[in-house]
Amino acid sequence: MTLLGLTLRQHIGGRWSASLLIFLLYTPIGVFATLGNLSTAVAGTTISLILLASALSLVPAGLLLWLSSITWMRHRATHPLPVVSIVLLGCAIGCTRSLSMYLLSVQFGIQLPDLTLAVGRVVTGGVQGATTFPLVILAASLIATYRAQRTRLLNDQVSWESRRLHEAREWEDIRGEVITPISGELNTLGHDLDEKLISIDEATKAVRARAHVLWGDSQPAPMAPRIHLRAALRASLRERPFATWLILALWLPTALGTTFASGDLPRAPLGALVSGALLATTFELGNAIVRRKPSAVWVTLLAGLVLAIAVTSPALSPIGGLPESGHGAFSIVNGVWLTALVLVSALVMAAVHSSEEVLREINATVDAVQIDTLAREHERRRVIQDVAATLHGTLQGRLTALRDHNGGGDAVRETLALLQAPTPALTATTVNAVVAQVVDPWSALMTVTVECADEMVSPAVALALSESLEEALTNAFRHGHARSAHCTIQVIDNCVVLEVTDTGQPTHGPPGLGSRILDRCGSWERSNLASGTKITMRIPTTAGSS
Amino acid sequence: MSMDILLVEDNSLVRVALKAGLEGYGLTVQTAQDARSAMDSFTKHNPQVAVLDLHLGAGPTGIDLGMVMRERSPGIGLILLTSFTDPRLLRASLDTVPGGMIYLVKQSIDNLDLLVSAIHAAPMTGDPRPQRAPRSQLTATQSDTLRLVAAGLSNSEIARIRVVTVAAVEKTIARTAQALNIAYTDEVNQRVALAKEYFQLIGRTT
Repeated sequence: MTLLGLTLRQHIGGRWSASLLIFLLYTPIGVFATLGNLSTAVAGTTISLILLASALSLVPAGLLLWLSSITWMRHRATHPLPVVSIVLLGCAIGCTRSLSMYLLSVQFGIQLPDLTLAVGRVVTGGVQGATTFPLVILAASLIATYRAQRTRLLNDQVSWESRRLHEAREWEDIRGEVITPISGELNTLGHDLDEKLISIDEATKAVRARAHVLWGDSQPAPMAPRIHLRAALRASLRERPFATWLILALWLPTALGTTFASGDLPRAPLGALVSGALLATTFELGNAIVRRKPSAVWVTLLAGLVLAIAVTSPALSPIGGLPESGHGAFSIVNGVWLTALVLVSALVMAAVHSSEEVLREINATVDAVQIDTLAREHERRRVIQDVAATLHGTLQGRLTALRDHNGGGDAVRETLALLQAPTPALTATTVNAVVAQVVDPWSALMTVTVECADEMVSPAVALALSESLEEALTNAFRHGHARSAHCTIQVIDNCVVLEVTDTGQPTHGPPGLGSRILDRCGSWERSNLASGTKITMRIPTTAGSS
Repeated sequence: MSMDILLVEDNSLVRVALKAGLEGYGLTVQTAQDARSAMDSFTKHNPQVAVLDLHLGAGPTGIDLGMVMRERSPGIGLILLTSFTDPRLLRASLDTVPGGMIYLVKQSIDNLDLLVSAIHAAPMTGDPRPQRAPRSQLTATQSDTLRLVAAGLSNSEIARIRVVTVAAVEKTIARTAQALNIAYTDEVNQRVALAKEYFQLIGRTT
């Protein structure tokens, strides 16, 4: 339900194209549903006239959808729509269409004016709209989301790669551009040292400016594009070809509405209910067959549909004085309507099903990439600080000393060596060393016990471990007011698994900055114990190894 | 009457200078540079007043230390010495400080008399329960966003970290700029001005 709510709120008709897509999907269902309602049509009416009336009746409903999309729904980002308002909009569109269909039918001479019939039509249309509309939107918007996501991910991938290459070159340039001229000048030492100091100051400013630009350009880590809606649809059909409850939820209002409108009470509505039960049995039977023999999915889908049409049409068609020739037409209409329902519901189920799968997959791959990015940002900051400290602090001090003492060759050589030494790289380290470094300051304030695996990890994993452990301990101390904590760190299945159990108060509330830090370091979960809180963190050891 | 003071400060120059200055006022000063040595010294000397630096590097902050010291010795006077005008600018989660803690912003101390009179006023007499930390005119969201802008992150990256939309980040930045009186003109880059303001608020000029 959360997924439904979120998707509806975020994607409903904010753009022209989305509204159009929704309407295109809604239109055939609307047409067939209307035809289903026409069981009381007068004799001699041709199907083409009914279709024309039905198509025309969609115009006012379309206008309503268009108006709401350009006024009300456009501002959904600033004023989020509650799900109920979307259901109400669906209901309004359904009512509008049914009413205009009724008026057109009377106008075209398809049926005679009758107030009870008109009210029945409008109510049925409203219920249909309220159930069908949100589901169609859900399907349409999920497809739109997938498409947008796929494009974004691909773009991210491309721009991230090019930026990475660009950054690597830039860092080479910084040392080259700054150090080479200063080295040259130092080699001809003996001239005015004040000038050299000024040029060093300028060089430092240049380094800082460049570093700032690089840092500011930091890009989010790209995610691996792995969204296959078609595959998800196939998988969903193989697992459960008929979404029975969804189909029934959509079919029953139409069936009951049609039978109520016929006025043959209570025989007609009872017939609709019985046909609904038969429909459910047929579909569940189909599902059971496919569960046992997944390769039979397409045959079962076809056979199930034919059987469903066969069991439902007789229950509805003899009602309300439809001419003999109309029975066949009605069966066709009912068949198309049922087929549309089965397809739309399968699409909805596949979309819902795959969105969970896709999220899981994205999370797993993104964890590793995020940890790499975290390490990259950390490393960049470290190099900036190193270059700035070397140039601004140590070097300037040495040159001032040189000026005062009027120089010696050794001091110049030392200065040059200092300039040319690269920033020491981050090295792989052991889990033990990382944990000890983080736990030590906290153990002054609280009792921290540690059970720890002693394995080597890459610098990126070490950084993620250190940040998440720091966050867990900070959280336990500051928010849980815990004064003792137990940490367990194991390496299981290519993952560093960190568990921090504290004896503080259970913490609730919305996710804050701390959880965002944990999100960047891997996947995690928090559980409240009888006394205290437990945070379990998983950091993939594959991060940073490439 | 001589008072026992514990001074916790990670910057060694500030530490030795303050120690010498305070001893000139007849105070007995023990010093510590991190959480561990601070707690060792606290246990050993049981000081009447602790002067704590807010930012002590990785791990616990001065406020965390103050919380534990107050729990173990309810009468201790606590002074937080910091360059951050708003503790949320250091990390958004610092919402409360121990009751009766005196919050002194380093930039506003232009003579040691002020610090010494704060030390004499510090020993705990009032409500020892935690109280709200002092705050600037920014909201928690604005402080957090300002910190991320100053870290040089792009709007899309900030949106990703804060789990909001890019449009929401843009709005927050605009409101933060408004709250800090930074006008949007062709001459001034708003982001750079915001970053500058952040460093001024936390007491660091680059």
